[in-house]
Amino acid sequence: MTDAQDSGTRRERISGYGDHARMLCSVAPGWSTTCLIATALRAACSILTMLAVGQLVGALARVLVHHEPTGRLWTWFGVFAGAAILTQLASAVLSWGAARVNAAYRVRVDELVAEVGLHPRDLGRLEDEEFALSLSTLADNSRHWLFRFGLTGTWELLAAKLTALGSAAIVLTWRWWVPLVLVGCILAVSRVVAGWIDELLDGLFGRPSTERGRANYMSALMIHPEAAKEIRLFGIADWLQRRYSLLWHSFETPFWRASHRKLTLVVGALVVEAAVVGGALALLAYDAYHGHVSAARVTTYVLAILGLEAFGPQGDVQSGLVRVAVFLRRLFATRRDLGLPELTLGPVAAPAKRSPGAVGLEIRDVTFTYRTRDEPTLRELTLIVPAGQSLAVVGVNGAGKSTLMKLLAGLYRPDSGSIRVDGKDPFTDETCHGEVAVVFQDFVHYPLPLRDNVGFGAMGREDEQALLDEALHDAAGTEVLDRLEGDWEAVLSKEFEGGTELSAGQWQRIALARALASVGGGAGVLVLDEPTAALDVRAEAEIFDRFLAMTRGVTTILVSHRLSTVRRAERIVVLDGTAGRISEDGSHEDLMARGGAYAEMFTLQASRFAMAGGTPES
Amino acid sequence: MIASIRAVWLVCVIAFRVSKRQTVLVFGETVGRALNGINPLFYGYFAAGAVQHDEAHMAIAVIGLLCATGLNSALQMIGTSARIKQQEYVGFEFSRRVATMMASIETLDHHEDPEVLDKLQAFRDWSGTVGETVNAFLGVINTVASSAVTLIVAVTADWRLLILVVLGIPRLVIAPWTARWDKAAEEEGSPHRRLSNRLVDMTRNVDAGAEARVFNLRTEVLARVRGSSQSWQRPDIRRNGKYTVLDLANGLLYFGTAAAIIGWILHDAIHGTVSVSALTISITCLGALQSVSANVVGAARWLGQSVRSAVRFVWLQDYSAEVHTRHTGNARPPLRLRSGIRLQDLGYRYNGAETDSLSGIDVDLPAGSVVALVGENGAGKSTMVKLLTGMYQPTRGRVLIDGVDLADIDLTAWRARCSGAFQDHANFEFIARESIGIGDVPHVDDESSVRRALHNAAATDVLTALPDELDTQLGPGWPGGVDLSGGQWQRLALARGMMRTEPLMLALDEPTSALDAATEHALFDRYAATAQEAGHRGAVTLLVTHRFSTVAAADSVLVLVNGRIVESGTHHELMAAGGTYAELYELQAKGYR
Repeated sequence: MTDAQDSGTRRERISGYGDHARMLCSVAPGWSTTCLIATALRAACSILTMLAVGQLVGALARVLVHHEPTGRLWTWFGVFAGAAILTQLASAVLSWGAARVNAAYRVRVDELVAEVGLHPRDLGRLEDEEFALSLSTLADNSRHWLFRFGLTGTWELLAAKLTALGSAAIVLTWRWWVPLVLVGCILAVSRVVAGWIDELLDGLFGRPSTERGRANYMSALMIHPEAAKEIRLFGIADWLQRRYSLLWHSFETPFWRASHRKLTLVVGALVVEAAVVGGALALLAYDAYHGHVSAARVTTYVLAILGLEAFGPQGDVQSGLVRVAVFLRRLFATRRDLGLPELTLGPVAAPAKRSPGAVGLEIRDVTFTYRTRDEPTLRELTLIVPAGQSLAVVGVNGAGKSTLMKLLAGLYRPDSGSIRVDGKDPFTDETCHGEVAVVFQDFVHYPLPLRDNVGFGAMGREDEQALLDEALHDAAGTEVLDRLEGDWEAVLSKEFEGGTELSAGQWQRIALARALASVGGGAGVLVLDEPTAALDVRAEAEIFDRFLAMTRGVTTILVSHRLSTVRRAERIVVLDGTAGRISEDGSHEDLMARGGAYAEMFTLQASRFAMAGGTPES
Repeated sequence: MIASIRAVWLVCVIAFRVSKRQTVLVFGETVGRALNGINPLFYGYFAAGAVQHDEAHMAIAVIGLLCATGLNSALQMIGTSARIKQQEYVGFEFSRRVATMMASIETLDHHEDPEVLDKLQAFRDWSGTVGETVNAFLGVINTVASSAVTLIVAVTADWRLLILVVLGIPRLVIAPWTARWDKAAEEEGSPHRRLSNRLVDMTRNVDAGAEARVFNLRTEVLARVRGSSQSWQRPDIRRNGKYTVLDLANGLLYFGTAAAIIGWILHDAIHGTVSVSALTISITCLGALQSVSANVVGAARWLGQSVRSAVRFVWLQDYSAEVHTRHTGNARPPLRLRSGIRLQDLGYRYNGAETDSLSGIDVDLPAGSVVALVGENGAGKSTMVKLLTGMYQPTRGRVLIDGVDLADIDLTAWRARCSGAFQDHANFEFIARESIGIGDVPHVDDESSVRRALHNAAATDVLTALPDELDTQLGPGWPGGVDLSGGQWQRLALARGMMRTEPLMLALDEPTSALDAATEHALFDRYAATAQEAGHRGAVTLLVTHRFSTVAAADSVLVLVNGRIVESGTHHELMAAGGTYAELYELQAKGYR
């Protein structure tokens, strides 16, 4: 299982700490160095305080018992007070710097994670279950509170560990073997404790098990509005609730049973540790009583012995830092696999400048199989489209129409055969990217301003207002602009304050406008995959009345199952889903005359009108 | 304030009910934390013992430190484990109650009211954190306990340390200000946080990925991610700066004063009026003493934050109860419809909207008839379906079921006699049998009922996409789960709508928008058959669509424009009338001529 968010293996953690250090240096080298110095200063002050307190007590004893002068006493008092003030200053610098380091770090992590999804040209990677899972775990982990804790607590933890090292050095001056025994014992116990804590955290906040996922799914169904109507109509609230409860207990009960068993072990280990520390203190008391250790040192040793406990687990911060380390290991591994640099964004070639004008398409003997399927969706399909033609592709649901369009846009690599757009391979040739503009059936609703929602089609020219205006107008989207009171900066999502939510039909126009902006920006092919599915009759008619204007100077491919819209195309091809290739090819009239699948479908749809008794005139 | 107290009380009651044993164990942590505060006392004993060669003092110190550290860690582990478990169980109990309430509120108006919607959104975002209230509340108890111990140890060592305690008071006094900083930073940053998260999530979404590649959006999306992520961090940095300055001022004042006081105590110690142990205790408890006020503020803030979710829960409870009191109807729906459904001067206006979505609807849906409801997007078709199924409460007029006002009928019972399918159906990612079967819960596992429903929905061929037939897990996110196309999901939704065999009203609200011509044709034939069958029992079938080719076969057609019925009659009558219906029909038929 490669689920992140768990505490990883020991190796991963250790090398992950190195990655963490490299990240800190990379995102904010100046501030990280400042923080490091401040942290060292703080640790030094803590050690100095231990020494000063001991010396203070020792000096006091000499003043009281041997009536020595008080000069030494006041000197150590000065050291103590100075260390306290210096600690405050160092902490302030640290807090100031760490906030900046953290911010830069988190921004970088967001970028690095985002780039992993954007990088592979092959869309099939995103559909790959394992890759998708590793990506979503990366994103989830980067937002997890433990990650935040670990990142924020980095310096604090470092200071604690440095202080612990200093404490060990102090105890070393008493009896050299005492710190070795104590630290060894504390580290051993801390492994038991950390193991239990990590298991607890993994179980609770780790990547959800399937059962946990199902339980959460049940509650999400009940809470979110998508299923609200059906839940009420079919009265299934109670059914869902019982399912939810059953699923939740099915993973939670065994988990806690196991955790409790381990807790017994942890408590036992802690008792052993207490006994060892107690032994050291007893030995110290013995030495002090017999005068082997001076009064000045005793207090320092007591504080230092107890200070060794910082070698043990430091609560959520340490668990969090483990998450950060493991997260980075996995992020970097994923990035290396994709050929991306670990710490910085990969290089991007400047997009090729496009000159407007229709281009031709050649699909020859293309066979394509989805990773998740055994049977090819397309088999040795050949289709040549001359520049400027308007072509319609029809076929039953699942025949592979959308797949063909995605192949044309260079989103998949065909198993065999070749695809050429303007003579170039759209999958591999970067100069070909941006040549094919598509309105996908499942187009994206960007939670961004209208300007971006349209302008994203024409990157590089997105600030040309005339281009955007024309695209929106051609997509029959002027009404949308009116609704937004002419404000191109209006955010199209209710999730954001002051945002506006559009209807399905209005969104469809925006998506169309985006593709048209792309054509305006120089794309030579326009693919419309069911562009009017969400529109009503009048809006659909309005858009298709502009069809000719829209498609001027560009090669157009229209995918639709509404044959009344398809017939306007110069040429129609029927994609046979079972054969995986083109079965009919010609104009509307040709295909009707042929009496094949197209004619049958068309007659079927038309018959709904004929059956209804025709028009008032007839 | 009262709401907060109610909320905390409720959480405590539920916590205690969930597990009494856990509730007790949780205080292990409190005892552990309190023990930790005693440490300086034993440092003092140790130092004094060493100086005065007093073995009794030293023995007490060794045993005391042993307990305070060893026992403390063990107790804290037990307590923490109990606390986390309790948080999980209490959190679940709340989630379960929230989900059940939200799924059972009788009407759906709350999904339309912007004000309620905002609250519900906040609730969805934070619903998992109600359990944290348990944690936060215990945090307060733990902090109070350990602070009390620290204060007692300090003040009994030397009364002058009280001055330092007093220095902590301003920190408590300005807490409301600093809380405002937190709130402002959170409010300023959270839209950016949401945007940044949305954008990062989009990068791994297949649909968004396709567009990002087609339109070369990689650089732009990364720039947006960076921009929104930076904007999200910025208020945090500013707030942190303020805290840093405040903490520094506070720390310098505190330790400056502390140095003076320790100097004073030292002076007395030299003159023998203060013991070595008192001096050691005073020095070693300075750190703990300083963090007392910060800890109290922190714990209170945490409680304040997490109690918000609990307060929302109380609000939801009240809201749900209030909606419930609005639906007091308890009449049973008739076994079969005799006259039919009558809409009397029916009107509906969304809360906060300026105009009616539906108004002046006065129409009969006779028993046994197939009625088509036609109109363009936004004409009010779906609103009408929601009024008929009692999801919305009419703002004017009445829905009469065989002459009885729907408001007087038990809504659950009425819905049990309705069925339907919607364009915006949910994709229930269960196994296929359940996904369909929940259309009629008593028969959810009944294979033959499910197959019959599939047949009636003309959806049997969806089975070919399911490797394990009805036992196939749906949804690609689950192990072995299959992804269906939009059209296939839609047909499952239709099959779900066909599960109930004896509905009094069947509402098909644009359920075929994603289907192709051949399937559409097959479906329409099946509808007609189903409708006729249902007609024998007096059932009303309501076909809602914007496709004019569908409705010609209906017994009557209602044309809805801007929330009003502008035309009604049979297809032939409407075509002859030459109004809106004829115009739109003509527009669509033209494509096939």
